[in-house]
Amino acid sequence: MQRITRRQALRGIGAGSAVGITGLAGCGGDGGGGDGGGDGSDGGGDGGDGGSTGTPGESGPTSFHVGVLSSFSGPFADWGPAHELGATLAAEDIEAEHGVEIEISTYDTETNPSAASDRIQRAVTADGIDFALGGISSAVCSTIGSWTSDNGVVYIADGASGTLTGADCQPFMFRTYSSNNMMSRAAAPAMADIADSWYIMYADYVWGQNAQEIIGGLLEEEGSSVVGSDATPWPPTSRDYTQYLNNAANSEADGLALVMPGAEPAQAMSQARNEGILGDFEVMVHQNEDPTYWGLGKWAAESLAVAPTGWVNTLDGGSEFKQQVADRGNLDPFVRHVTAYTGMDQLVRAAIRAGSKGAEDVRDSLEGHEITDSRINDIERGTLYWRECDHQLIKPTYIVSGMAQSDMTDAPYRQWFQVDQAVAGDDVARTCEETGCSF
Amino acid sequence: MSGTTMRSISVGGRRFSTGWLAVWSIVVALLGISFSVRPGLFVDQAVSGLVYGMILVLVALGLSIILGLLGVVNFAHGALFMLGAYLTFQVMSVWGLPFVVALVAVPIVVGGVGVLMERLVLRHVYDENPLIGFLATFGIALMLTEAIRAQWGGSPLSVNVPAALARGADLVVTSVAQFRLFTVAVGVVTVVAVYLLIGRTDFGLSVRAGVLDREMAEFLGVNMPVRFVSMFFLGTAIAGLGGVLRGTEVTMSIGMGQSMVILAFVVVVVGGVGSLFGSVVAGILIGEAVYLTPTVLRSLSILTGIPALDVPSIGGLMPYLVMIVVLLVRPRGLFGQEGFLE
Amino acid sequence: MTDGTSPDGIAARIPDRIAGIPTADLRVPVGLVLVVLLLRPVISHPMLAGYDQIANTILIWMLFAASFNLLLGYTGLLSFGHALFLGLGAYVAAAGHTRFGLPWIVVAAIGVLVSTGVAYLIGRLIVQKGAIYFAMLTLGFAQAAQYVANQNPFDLTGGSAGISGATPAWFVLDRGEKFVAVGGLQLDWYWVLGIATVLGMLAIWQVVRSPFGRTLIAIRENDALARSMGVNVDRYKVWSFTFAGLFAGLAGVLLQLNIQGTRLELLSLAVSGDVILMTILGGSVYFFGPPAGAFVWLLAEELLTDFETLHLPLTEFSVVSVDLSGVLTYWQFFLGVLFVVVVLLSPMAGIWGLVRRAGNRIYGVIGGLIYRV
Repeated sequence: MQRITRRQALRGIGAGSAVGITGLAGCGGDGGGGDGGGDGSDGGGDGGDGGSTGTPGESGPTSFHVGVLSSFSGPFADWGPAHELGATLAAEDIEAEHGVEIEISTYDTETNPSAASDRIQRAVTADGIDFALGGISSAVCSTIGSWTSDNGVVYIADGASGTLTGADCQPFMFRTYSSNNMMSRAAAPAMADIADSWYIMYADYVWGQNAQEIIGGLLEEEGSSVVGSDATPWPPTSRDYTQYLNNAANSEADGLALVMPGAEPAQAMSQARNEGILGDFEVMVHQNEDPTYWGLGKWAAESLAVAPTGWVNTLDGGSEFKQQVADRGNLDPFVRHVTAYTGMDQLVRAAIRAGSKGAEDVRDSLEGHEITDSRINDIERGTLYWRECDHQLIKPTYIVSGMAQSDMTDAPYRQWFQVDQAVAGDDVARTCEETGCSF
Repeated sequence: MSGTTMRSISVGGRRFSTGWLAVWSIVVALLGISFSVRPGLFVDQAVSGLVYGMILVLVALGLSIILGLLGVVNFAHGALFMLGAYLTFQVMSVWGLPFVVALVAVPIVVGGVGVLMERLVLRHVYDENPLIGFLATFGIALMLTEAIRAQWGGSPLSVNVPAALARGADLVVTSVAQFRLFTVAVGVVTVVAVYLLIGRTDFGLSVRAGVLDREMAEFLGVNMPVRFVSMFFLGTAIAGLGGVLRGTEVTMSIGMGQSMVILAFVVVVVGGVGSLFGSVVAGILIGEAVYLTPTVLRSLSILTGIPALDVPSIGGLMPYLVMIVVLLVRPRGLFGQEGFLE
Repeated sequence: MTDGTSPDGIAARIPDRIAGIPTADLRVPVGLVLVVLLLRPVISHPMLAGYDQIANTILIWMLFAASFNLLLGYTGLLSFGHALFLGLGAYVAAAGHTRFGLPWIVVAAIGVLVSTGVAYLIGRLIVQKGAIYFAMLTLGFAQAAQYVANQNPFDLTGGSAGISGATPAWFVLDRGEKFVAVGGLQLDWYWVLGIATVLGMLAIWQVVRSPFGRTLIAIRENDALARSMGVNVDRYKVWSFTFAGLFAGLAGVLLQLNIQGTRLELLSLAVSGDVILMTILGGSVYFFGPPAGAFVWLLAEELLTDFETLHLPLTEFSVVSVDLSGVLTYWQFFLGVLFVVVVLLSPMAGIWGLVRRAGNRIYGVIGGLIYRV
């Protein structure tokens, strides 16, 4: 037997550890197991929501496996847990109401379409989810929607680009968030009121391009003018916006519109402040989401003059829901908790109403359905229904602005924005013809 | 495409190749046009370009020192730059200490981390194939990045520029944030200090001797390991300093390490591997190219009325374009030395 | 063993000719066929990935890594931009199919041709430069391509969202399972892909085995000596680069069909970096090294990203369970550690070298035991 030298032994350990890690790794994990649905055996299950065609336990499905795809890593890493919590709360409520079992699996899209595509395939083929919800970036939603519709899976998307219910609409994809069109149409009059000339900085991908076009056109209609615009790089490899801020500062604009997702407006505002130019503008942020500012500070929220959004936690209603989120979540309640709740709630209820989990049945059950007997109606007061022609959830859209710092409260959760306007969905949504959507 | 094969022109007693003259004339003309169309914006962008160029210089200089003097391809350099930025956040935002503390202490800490890296890992790969060192530092970069993410999270952060430097400085056609000028000043001081250290002190002389012939230098009693470690410390500390300045003015984000190390390599290659002076020149050149190219294009688009000329995001491509053009014309970069890592 | 007649390794036990064909000629083809046959069943085992679609991805990456190794392992050229050719093949095929409505076979061929042509042109421009300049230039070209693709010129590339829905009519999807419909039959896409990758890798093997390939190895070993012997080193490097681009383009075309579209990430530095890492990890001096590296890499990535709880010894009979989800979200940290360790211990031979050596040693031990008894 050859003498084993120390070098060879070390090499062996090196190989062994490499193989061993993968070997050991195989012993665990059944593929992204997330928060499970508990035992839904407590409580009777006949309280269906209004208009249900069958109670579970008769012929309908009693257990569901839903995939939540969101960003759990990267710059949007905080958004993923929010989606997950919202979906979990909805699952718990429905389990209690109907006595069904709902299992949730979470998947990290990493905010890029490539990873999202891999995850949704895995979710459906390996884990066997029944339906999916989530997606923040519209490019991600588009990719997931394309695949799920090709493969017969219903998916409720949470991106806002008008194309998701327009040119890129898919037969099995629905969308919870107020579309870019709805938000822009609500915001444009307010923007025109506070500044006559605007500079638009927008993220150079489908969502940003879509919003910039719409906002630009609407501003002109309202009598304001767009003196310039800049497409900021997407994906944002360097978050250096000084070049574009220089352009804005040297234009004659009074208003600065930041059409950038997630934490990017905060970056731009911080850099503008460091350059000493933030005070020169009235600031508008498209599709406002609170966590953008919570990391930055109250001064940033205060600088915000106009912002359209899908929901904000200073609205009346849903106080119990908001408290639950504040207690259980890592982030205070913001729009994504609500959209995820809506998505989960509606998917399962639709399947229960239809008495089946098949994609066509769930889709038919959702189309045209108005949300009435659900906790959503307490969280978001107004008319909410799934429009048949483009699968958009027609819902109220809100215009918010930052409060004065002295008015902001932090307990029990951060409330930094006030609601200036609540616009009914039907007033701002495109007509069916305008969407250009056909299935 | 060297000067000897093209006609050259005599200007003021010195010979220049017509090719270079033509290129530089066009560049100057374009810059002049752009300035005249929007003077304030042009100066703003030029200053921003200089600031960005200075950051590139700082990181590339550190990389070039390590590469040129020690022959190590340090892929972790960007992660160290990022560490400098995040430590700044820790010092300023979390501990509430003033900017000056960050400016002085953070580069030293980052240098310390660099020394640790060198002693634990790189020391074993000095005499091997440079690819090994590259891969080992790649592994270290991964580790550093994930450690930073574990500590500070994946979302981008920012700090506020210190109040003393937040005012604007008047530059006739525009007003520029003082912090930008401060960054440029720090960069210049650092470059000069490094040049003096390496070129004018006995210590620097012994380092250069050791690089040329390590065995001989050690024969003569020069303590090479100490010099290697101190050069490594210097290189990484400068990167940390770049991180402090960049993080304060712009942002701290998890991807900045990888982006910056690629750019630093581009700068080093454009300047020529083995030449510190080349890294400085290339850094400024690329910095200005990134900021001024979109400005020039936008001015041209305004003048000619062709909207397709306006490509604001071309700044991100410029480092690579510059590198391709420079390397095609000068295969060893601007001031590269023959035989270096070839 | 002490008696001196110990076997020299498994290789010494195999006869020199089987059915009249030299064994050396059979080694790689048989190996490739075995890989294709075994990969999916092995990977689908619940202890590994647990589902089978990942086998498609692994096959394609094996081909891609083999094409890259033509440059690195056999010619000694390190490229930081090999994703360029993968992306070119995929984008040309996807854009041709969705934007111009051409049949898929046609766009696939065009995709491979474009990839090859671009590789030749770029090769002509840059192979004469020194190693680090060559590497950075390949990076520069790949980044430029990614930038251009992101700009979505003439609406050809789809910008950052890529191209979706590039599925020919004969490609059938059903809840993630893929089939090729040929004359009334539905073939599993995996086997079609398997044949394509085997053919591709056999072609690479032929290139490597030929006198051309031998010269490449000579160039890798000592560039200056080859030059002094009269070899036109630059020409060989250009052709090596061209072949590498060709096979990477082929991998790209197959990948495009596998994911029914393209993504901007295919052109990214991450992909170029991944293939370098796979090749090194697997062992660049062996033909099967990079494919082995691709397998290990993709499998580990699959397992580690969704890994939460480690059950010891088995999931079903868990005695001790350790919740690693908090720590393993930072799995790349451990990957970095692993990398440093493997690189320091076994730099060129990689994992495949370790496997081979381990295999030989096991064979030696078993053989010794058998002969003892």
